[in-house]
Amino acid sequence: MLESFIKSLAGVPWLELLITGTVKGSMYALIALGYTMVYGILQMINFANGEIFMIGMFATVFGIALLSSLWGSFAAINLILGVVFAVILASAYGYGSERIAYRRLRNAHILAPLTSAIGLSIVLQQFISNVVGNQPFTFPNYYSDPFAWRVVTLVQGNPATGAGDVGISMLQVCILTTACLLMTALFYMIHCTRVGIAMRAVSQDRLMASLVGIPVNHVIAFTFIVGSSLAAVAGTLFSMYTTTLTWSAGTASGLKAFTAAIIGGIGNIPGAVLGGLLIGIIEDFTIAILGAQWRNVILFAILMLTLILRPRGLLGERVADKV
Amino acid sequence: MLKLENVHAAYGPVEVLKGINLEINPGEIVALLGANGAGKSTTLLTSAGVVATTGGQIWWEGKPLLRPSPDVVLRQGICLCPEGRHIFPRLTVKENLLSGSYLLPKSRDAAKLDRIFDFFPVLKERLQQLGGTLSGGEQQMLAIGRSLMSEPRLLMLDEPSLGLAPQIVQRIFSIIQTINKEGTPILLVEQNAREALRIAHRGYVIVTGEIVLTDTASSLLNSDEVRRAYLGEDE
Amino acid sequence: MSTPEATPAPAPASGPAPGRATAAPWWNAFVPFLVGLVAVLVITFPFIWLRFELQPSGEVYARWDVKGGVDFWQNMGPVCLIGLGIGLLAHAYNAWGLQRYTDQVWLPVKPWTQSLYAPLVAYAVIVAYGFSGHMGFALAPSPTTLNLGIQVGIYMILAMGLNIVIGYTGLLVLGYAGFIAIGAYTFAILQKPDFIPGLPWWAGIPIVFIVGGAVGWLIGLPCIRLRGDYLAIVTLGFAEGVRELAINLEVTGQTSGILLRNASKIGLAPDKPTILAWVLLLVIICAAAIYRIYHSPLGRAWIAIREDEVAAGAMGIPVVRMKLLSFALSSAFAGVGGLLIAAYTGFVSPDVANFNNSVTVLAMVILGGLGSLPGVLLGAGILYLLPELLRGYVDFEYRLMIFGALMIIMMIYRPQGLLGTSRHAIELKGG
Repeated sequence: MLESFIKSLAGVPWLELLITGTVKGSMYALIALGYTMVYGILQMINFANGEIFMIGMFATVFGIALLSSLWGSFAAINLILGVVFAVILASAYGYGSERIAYRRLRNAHILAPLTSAIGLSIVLQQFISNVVGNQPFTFPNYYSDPFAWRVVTLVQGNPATGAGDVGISMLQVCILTTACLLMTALFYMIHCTRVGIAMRAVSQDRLMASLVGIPVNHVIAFTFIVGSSLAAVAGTLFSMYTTTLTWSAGTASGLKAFTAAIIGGIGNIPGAVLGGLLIGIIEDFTIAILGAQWRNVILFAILMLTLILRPRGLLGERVADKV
Repeated sequence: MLKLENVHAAYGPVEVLKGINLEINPGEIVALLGANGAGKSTTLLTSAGVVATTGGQIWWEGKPLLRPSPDVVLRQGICLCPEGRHIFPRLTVKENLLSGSYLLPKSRDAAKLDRIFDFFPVLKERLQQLGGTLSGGEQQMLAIGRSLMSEPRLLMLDEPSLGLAPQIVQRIFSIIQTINKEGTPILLVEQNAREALRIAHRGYVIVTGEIVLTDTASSLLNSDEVRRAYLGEDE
Repeated sequence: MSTPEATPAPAPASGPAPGRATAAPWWNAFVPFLVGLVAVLVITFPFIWLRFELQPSGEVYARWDVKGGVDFWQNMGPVCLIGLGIGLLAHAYNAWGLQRYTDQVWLPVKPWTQSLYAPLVAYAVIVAYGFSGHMGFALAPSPTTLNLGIQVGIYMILAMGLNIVIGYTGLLVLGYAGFIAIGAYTFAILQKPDFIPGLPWWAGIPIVFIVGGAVGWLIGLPCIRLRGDYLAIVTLGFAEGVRELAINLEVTGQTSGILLRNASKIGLAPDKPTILAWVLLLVIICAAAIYRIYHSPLGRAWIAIREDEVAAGAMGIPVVRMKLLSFALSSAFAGVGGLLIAAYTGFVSPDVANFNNSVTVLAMVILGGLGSLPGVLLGAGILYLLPELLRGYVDFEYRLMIFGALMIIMMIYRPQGLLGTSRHAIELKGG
């Protein structure tokens, strides 16, 4: 057993895994940002963020389908407008969830908003599974195929068959670029704009923020909207990348993104990005070395290790325990 | 300008304000004096929209004051600088100040900042420092500066001298006077009754949720009752 | 306290009333509700009324799905009515001071529900009813009813166990199914010929109790001194991990699970009335044990931690140890429940560790009343009977969705649960 394990280790295409892992990780990071922002501002885990990601997935395809029926299939326009549709719809869900399930529980014991969040994520997940269907759907490849060509070939495999080639596809480039752009925009927004100052002020002292004239409810709602939009974009990218849409993807990816947020230090925005990348890379290596069925076990082991060795996360500064 | 008419307020079953009547005219500094737990801070918090009233009416410039939440009150022109300063510890001094002018036109920020730096030159040196790393006096200055950023037409200060060295208290009080002379009326709550009455025009004395005495500051300073109750023991 | 939405100027729909000059019309309170309803209808519209159709060319088109939409709302109709009813009741309860009247009804009842005689009498009655079929009684329970009763009993034990950690100590556990699976698999593996073939189920109870407790203790060790939400997420991950381990390992039979050897012989009892009697007896034993613990210094320490951790620590309560103990104890009861499930169905599969299972038990605890033993038993009963009652009106797939909605509604309107104490309400609402 050990022998075969070592043998499989030797044949690992580490460069390829590093690339696919980074791509996957950047999408996890986008979801993790939603978790970490809401946690930073409300000290509460928004479990439903994973489901918003899943809704973003389906909303993209619905948007594209609507537009195709309206004026025909134009790949680029429909895709972009589909993403916009998904972002708007997911933001509406994020805002609605804040309004319905969290706002009245803002000053309550920690158990109350947490329970409500779980209830909400069950409702959203079951809603999609009941309404859209249990079967996994494939992403319409008319829209994802134009991205399939290889931009760079890093390692030349068999020149005749092309087997063993390692390269970066256009889709991967697009995902990485989008993720980088969104993250840069987010950093800029949080550190250099008034909304960002207001968000940080609310996260540090909610009553005082209100006393200096910051409309706290609006700022919190805005945080949810930003987090949901990021999750929705991640949903689109993820469904294009894995080519499947399922109702259970929200829980699966949500758990990973949440683990990423904890590993990076929850409430810490660069931490969420770092954690997301780490989780993505580790996941792909686990799949290649041990097999896909082991990835959640490894994920859980990493989560436990982080909590034992560094409970505040890699970049976290805040004391995790109640102050 | 601000007029409290028979205002009642309660924390759960405990009634804290039992019919407060209070009025502030344009250009005034009004001191609100009283022992611990008399309801001074609650009066301010009620006017600022943090605590709900259980009875009575608050008038602002002839109209009822809308108080669904503190930021709405602030947008009508009343700013409370609460007790204990409450600086945002992980924002820089500049960001702390700018947080006060959220929703106001950006173009006026620079002028307002300059005015605040005239009052408190220290803040200009500390502009990029985190709020939590300032000393107590600097934090108080920052808190007052942050309140000024929201262009208040009435400034309510809760215990600005709390826990500060006497010299700094003097400085802050003289700056409060300057702010007032530039046209902003001020409602001042203070434990330090002598200092407060020295700069105030009028004063109210509040005992267990009711106004028991009101007069000009100078006659309050000389009244035996106030001397015995607030000046003799506190000093 | 709700605040108005957009601009500050116009009179807000809600807020501290005495600050206003004129009274708002009565329907003002319903405006946000109606706006919300319309918004929900709009944002759920594409998912409910549209389908997308993938073409072989890879294109995708949308089409109306009237049947699907009608189907959905037919299912949601009764649910919405129930939700509306609960909401109105809760509103009336809070707004019109109905608490006084219900207290008059409930207060004399409470000592009765908490005394030991009541459950014993109920036990005797139910068991007699269960066996009444043997005596040729006309209205004897059908096998389906008996089956339901047994399942309710098992879930009562699970809910009581989860209540220890959520209700008493105030820690949220999301992966309770993981611990149920640990119990079930432990028993199933011990049954195998290589270990103790023919191990009777009652002899397995102490073993799974210890194993479950030990696993809970190990899992809790690193994360229990952190904030409460960490435990929630760690246990969630744990349940997923257990499920995957069960799928992967050979000893657990991978995806096919383990069929207990001679299921009929090792199973709880030869016939269903006897099984029901045994399960209910176990429920009473567990309830009595938990009741005793709750009213011991240990239970008071848990309550103290739930109410104020810092103060509890300052009073000399070893906070971390007490939390660990409650967590371990709760997972030990999960183990017992898992054993019963395994022994009753004669079969263990990785599905035991499903998230759905955790949610079901969690919803029972929250519905019945956090920290209230009779409340939790009631919650288990209601949540098991509710799908039965709705059968024919609502598809079975909507069950979990209803549970989720129930959790939100309960947290907003009655966070202490149906039979919870008002003290818990203040604490949960942050009074």
